[in-house]
Amino acid sequence: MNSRLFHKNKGWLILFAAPAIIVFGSIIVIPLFQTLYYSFFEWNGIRTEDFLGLANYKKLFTSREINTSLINSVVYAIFLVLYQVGLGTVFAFLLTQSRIKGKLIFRYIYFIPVLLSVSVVSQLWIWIYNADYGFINQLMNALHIDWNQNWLNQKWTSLLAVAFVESWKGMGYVMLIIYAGVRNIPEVYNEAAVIDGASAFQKFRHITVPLAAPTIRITIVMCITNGFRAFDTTYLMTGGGPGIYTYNLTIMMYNAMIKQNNYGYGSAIAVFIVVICVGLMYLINRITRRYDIIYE
Amino acid sequence: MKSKFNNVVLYFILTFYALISIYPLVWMVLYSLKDNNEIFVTNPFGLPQVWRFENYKNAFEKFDVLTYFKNSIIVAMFTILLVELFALLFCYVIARVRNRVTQFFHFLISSGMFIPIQAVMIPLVIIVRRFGFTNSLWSVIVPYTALGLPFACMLFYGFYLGLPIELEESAFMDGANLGTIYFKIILPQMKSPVVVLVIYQFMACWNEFNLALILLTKNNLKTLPLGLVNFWTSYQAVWGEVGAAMIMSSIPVFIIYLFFSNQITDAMSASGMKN
Repeated sequence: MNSRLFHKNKGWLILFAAPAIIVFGSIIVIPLFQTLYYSFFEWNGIRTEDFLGLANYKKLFTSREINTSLINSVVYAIFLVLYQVGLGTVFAFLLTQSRIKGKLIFRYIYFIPVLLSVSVVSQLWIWIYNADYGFINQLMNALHIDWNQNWLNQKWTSLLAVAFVESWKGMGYVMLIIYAGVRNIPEVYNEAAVIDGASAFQKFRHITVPLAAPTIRITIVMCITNGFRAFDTTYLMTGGGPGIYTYNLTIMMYNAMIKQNNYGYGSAIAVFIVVICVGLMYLINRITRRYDIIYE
Repeated sequence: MKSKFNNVVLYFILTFYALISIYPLVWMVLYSLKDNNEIFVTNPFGLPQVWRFENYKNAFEKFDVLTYFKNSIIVAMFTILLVELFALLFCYVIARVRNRVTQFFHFLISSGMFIPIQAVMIPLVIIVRRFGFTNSLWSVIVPYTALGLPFACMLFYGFYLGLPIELEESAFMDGANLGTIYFKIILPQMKSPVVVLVIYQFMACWNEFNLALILLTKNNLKTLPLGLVNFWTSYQAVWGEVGAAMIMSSIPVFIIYLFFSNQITDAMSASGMKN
């Protein structure tokens, strides 16, 4: 019966499925292979290309910026995980505790930075970090603490300052995802723990974290891959500077594309970004799967 | 006694982070109503001594706010429309007909969720240039539609599985074709995920930056986030007016959040369940 309905309407089925497949195929699937293809060529986007083999990749791995870029991405990713997943888990736990009043208000407030566009957030924080008139340095002055920093113009503070802004903006989002996971934990576990006289910390440590582990894993994967493909906040706040202190792969790719018009080289960087992101995703899932079994 | 102490600590932590979340915004609202002298020297933290609403008027005149708003709204509207339509129809097929072909396409589109945008950027720039889309907002609407499909499919797929097949069968007995059946019987059941997706997609489009930066090079086609960057680089010295422009451009999302916060919460937490 079922199959007769769909068998007789094959034309409709094809008509239904075609638009999505065509759009996705021509915007995502085909360009993905094109990127791979272009990465083997010397190519400025207009004129015919010269085949280079792996020369673009060699150029990438021997470039002056590659080490800084990779180290920065690792630091950035770790910062995102610690801040967003760390705080996100703690807040998701606190905001599911029945003894806390006003949970909804906190949840609303924590989510507000997520709503802002990255241009607003970046400009806002550029001024918060401003060396002369910025909020932080003015606050230090007002409190008579002699610790003014030129936040966005120094080696490590610039990278951490940018990572902080991205974490600040996205924490509410990560928290919400973990919150949904924590809410799915059957109430009986918590009730049993209360009867056994468990403290809040024990409940957090032995119930929330292990049972929400699959959700937490997803957010960790998200944060780590975001660390490697992050572009907009860095681009807007420092543009990779001062010098190359906040460089990362996406900034290198942007410069190759827009500034140097070297699309072949840009494609090679893009392929490398994809390999890193997909590879890390696979690796983290492999490693943490084993950890899950212990709790099941 | 001990738990009372704990509660105080907990509220302190929660309130402290709430301040970190919103005080920067409050600070922005405040300086959008001040002049530079007040922001820099006399009164960096407090309420404005003189409420300079003219900052908003000036920002409105200097910053081409209406053009950017219009572009952002057109992009968001068309993207939402196309993602909804394409994903609804596509998911219906993959949820109802299970064979190797449909499973392949389901897997293909779902895996789009894991691909970094950089992977397709360069070919997109080339396509847009080669086919002369640089003069139209379609150059971002079509890519946004493609990028929106993986999440939309995940959202709709689960809902379709929950709809009993008997709905279609009885209509088919009466001689209706699939087109009629779908739009008359199935589509009305999908109201709630459709609403969730409208809001999710709106927020995604409204704030998208990376692709827009590379694909929209003409000033009169720029969306709000890009226009804002233009404005702030040209008027960097006048903090109050830039602040005013930033607040004006954030208002639409805040209004939507005010009315649809539950749907936003649902959509966002659903997006984490992607595995």
